[in-house]
Amino acid sequence: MTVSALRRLAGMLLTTWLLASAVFLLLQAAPGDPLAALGGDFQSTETRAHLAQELGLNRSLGQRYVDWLNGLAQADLGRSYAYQRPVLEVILERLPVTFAIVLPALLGAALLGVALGFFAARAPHSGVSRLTAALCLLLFAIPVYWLAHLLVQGFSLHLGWLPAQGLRDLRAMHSGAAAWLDLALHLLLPICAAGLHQLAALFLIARTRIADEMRAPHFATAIAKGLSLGHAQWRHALPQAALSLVTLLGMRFAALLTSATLVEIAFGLPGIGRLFVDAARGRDYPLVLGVFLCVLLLTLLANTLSDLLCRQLDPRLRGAQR
Amino acid sequence: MRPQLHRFTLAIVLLVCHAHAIAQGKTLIVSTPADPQHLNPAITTASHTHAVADSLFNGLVALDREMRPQPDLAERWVVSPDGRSVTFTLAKAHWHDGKPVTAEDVRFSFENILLKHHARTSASLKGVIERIEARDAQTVVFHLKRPYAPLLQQLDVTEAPILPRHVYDGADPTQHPANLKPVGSGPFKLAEYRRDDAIVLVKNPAYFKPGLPKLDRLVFRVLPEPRAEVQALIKGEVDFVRSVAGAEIETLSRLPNIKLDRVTAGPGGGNCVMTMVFNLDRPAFKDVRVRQAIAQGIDRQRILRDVIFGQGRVAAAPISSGIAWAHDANVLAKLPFDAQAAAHLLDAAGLKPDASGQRLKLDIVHFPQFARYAQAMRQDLAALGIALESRPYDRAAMIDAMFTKRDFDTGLVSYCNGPDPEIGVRRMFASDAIGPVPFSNGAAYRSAEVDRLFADALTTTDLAKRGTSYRAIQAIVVRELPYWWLVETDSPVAWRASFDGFAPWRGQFAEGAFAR
Amino acid sequence: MRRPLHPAWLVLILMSLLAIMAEQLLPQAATARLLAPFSPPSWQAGWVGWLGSDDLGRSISGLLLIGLRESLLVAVGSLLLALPLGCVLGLLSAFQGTLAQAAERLTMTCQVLPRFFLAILVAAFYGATREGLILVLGLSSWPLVARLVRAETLSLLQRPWLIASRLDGVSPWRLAWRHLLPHALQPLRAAASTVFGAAVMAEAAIGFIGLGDPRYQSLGALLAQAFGLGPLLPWLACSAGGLLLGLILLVQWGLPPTDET
Repeated sequence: MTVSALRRLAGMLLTTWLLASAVFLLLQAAPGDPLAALGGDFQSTETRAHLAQELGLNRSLGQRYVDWLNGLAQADLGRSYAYQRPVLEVILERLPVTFAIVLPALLGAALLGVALGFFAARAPHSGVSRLTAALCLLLFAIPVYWLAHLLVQGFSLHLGWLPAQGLRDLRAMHSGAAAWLDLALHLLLPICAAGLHQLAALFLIARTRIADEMRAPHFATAIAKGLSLGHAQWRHALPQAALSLVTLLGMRFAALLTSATLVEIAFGLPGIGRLFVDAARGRDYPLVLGVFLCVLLLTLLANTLSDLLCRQLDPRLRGAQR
Repeated sequence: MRPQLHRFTLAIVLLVCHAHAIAQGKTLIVSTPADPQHLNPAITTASHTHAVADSLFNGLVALDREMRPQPDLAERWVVSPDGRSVTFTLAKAHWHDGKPVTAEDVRFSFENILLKHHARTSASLKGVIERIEARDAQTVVFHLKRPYAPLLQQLDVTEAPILPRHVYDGADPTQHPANLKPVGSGPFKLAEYRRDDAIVLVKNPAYFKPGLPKLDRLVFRVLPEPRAEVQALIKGEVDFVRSVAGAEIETLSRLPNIKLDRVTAGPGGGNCVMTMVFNLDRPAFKDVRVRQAIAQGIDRQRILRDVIFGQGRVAAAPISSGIAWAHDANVLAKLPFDAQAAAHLLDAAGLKPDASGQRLKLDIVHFPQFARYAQAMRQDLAALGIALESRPYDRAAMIDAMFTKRDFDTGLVSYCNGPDPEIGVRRMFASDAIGPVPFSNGAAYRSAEVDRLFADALTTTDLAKRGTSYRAIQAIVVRELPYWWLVETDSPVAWRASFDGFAPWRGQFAEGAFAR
Repeated sequence: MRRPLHPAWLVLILMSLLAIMAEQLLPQAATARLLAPFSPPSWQAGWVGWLGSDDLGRSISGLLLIGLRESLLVAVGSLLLALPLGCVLGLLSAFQGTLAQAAERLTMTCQVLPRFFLAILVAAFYGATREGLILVLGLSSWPLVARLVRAETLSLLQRPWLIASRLDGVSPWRLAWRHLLPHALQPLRAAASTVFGAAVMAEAAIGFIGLGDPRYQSLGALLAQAFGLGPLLPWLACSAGGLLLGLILLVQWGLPPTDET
């Protein structure tokens, strides 16, 4: 177990290093001048030279790469050009917001999607089941930002129930428990906008998988032994289907981060997705690289976690080595 | 039904919470499109920094709607008869930490910070100011190398904010921790700065102007999506929006609880003219008739109507109508929109249409947000047989293509004239402004006569005499057309009618704002 | 084994044909000012005016056709890149040896590439071009294909008839070409559907945040334009968004995608 875990860890680090280096080179080879993006309207040649010196842009590529790797080994991602602060600090500030969208969205999508799939698989041809399926197909296909827009139009402008943007009520400035509730209300629409797509995807797959399992011989045996349909589903179809669902959940994490980015832009939330888009537009090389690395690690982590969970769920995989 | 019920419950809880919220007095929420990054307005010209930071500081003077100087930190001022020195008497103001604002602070701010790090101010004033003398605690004298008429227009909080010497002395102002924990003299103090989210300012109770500010809190909300901004305004989550998208104006104007205004200036610069730049180094533009043809082939009235939804004016002269004494209102009248005349000019220049009807292929570089101008121009020019290919570039790529590498045929630039032609017009035409400096003489236009006239205009502070020089310049550049001036753009401002008293043309727009 | 063509494919093919012939059907419609700005939908001007015009008097039906063409082009382009790459590397990684290991390592490495973030990065630093986007989407989608092909090949290699031909001394290359590839292609249909759908969505998202190719307005860019014009052009938002939604639904319907992404 430890050996395989170490192997996994080494594999993860190797992947990260390979991809991050590729992206480092990609950025360094890019045309355009980060200095021009930084300076003001009436930039002089002295300020440019000063900036280049300060940011270490006048050193050779190899030197910069070595420096960057060195920093990386000490968890130092460099300084952001635009923010003039350590990249790691800037990222850690934004990460909670992204998590506050992504984690509830993931959890909600998983629970609701699987629950709906569970019931839909019982009576695949009933009206409710078909309606749910059609709705989920629609939710799966609708672009996230359009969905976000429609949610805002409906729930906040038309009905006036939920805030249209932001993280908190800036006028009231609640404190204590009210502040948490305020935050939750502000996050509800963003979470829905980011999560509904995943919910739909999970529902569609959970339904097929559970229905597949229900056609398997062992399921018929369970029913023949006198288990109720629900009980048999719970004991004999769901656990089998759960395996592929957990794998899928890990795989969909990157897609969820994409949705979260679009949602952060639409609602003006300070998460890492929006940070990345802004940094890329402003040619803030260290920040772009840092956020990319962070997204990469999160994706890898999600995959690894879902793998480990699969091992827990499936005794056959326990102890098996890849 | 159940999720709906749930939302109802939430809505009720929300209402209860609202009732229980601690009433914190009058709060104004302003949306701003980008994070300010830091709050030191003296080291940058970036509009997103100034949009917030200008409310924390003061300039020596403030400008009124017509760009006339009014007292700010300086109570009064006297210009010497020879125009070579200006003596300011300071008001009795205090920094947010309680120390008094003195003449030393003014001298230090200029010599150590503004003339080194504020790009616009250092470009225009470094060659003008001989020295700054702090005569006593309340008196500061600017000694100039020559008379310089637009001096006072460049001393407001956007162009020359005054910083505390006791905080910044002996340190690098660009890296100073006080840039994030500013100590200013302005009507508001910083309470909380959450990056990319919100910046909370609170009333400065010891502000030196009696009765001001009237608001208790001024909150800036960073909202990059124009759509979200307007939705938040309608919903009442935001009270003040600077620079509303043109397409939203009509909707907003129909709402009784929203007020609209249009200003020609803002924290990024004033009196802006959307200008088409001809790269005069390109062989295609050696013949002035080609430039004339393009000028007459573009329907500027339509750009005003369809592209900016009427939020401005068709440019009547190279110099903005906002600088009335220098503006020559009739100089562009002889180049009306006339596709036929344009076609004749192209024929005369030897550019005959080929088999597919095409005469010329040009590209146009511009910021992505100006894409709709480029598309409208492309439609008009296509009718003339000129294929205009749009190249939308971000800031870095645009500066690189236009001012560093000069790899473009035509460009689209919003040249902000500022309060005086010396500030924002000279850079477009002077031959010493050709080079890698962003947003300088993009056309690479050279004329000894124009250079001489610009120098002439600076020898006196008499507006009538200066106006004559500037009108002469306009006559020449309209004849030679290194640029084509499309429209003067206003920025539409909207706020909720529950507030009033704004000065949206100033950096310090909310000093006198109040809640009804 | 042959099934009749799914109706969804008929519709998709029809849509592609319309999109390919966009310039012929409605010449200049996406650029020229053919109608008064903000014309409402009407039948009077024919197809050009069917959906009305946008803020600059361009025909919305023309814009939609061009947008559809762009979205399809990017999706098909990345598919054409991902499929062969995925097939070759997937087959390769099913065998033993250093090369196979390297192929598997590469697959595992590239499979975690966040394609949306990479696409933003390339568009921002190298210029937003359609070719660049196709390259990024294609190069980040092939691991899915490779994994499916590998899994299928591994299970095929256990089949008795294949073991028999291996024992007969058939060369590995011949084995791969004649016996494995035809069967391993089975999962490709589902993979193709997934890659295609994901590419359409990714392209739309990139277009929406304004990093799509400015020369050609895709459906995502059109949706962004409609949002930028706020309340003035509700029918542009609905038609561009609806078309995008329809495209993804059709692919889903015609070819159920795999569970993996």
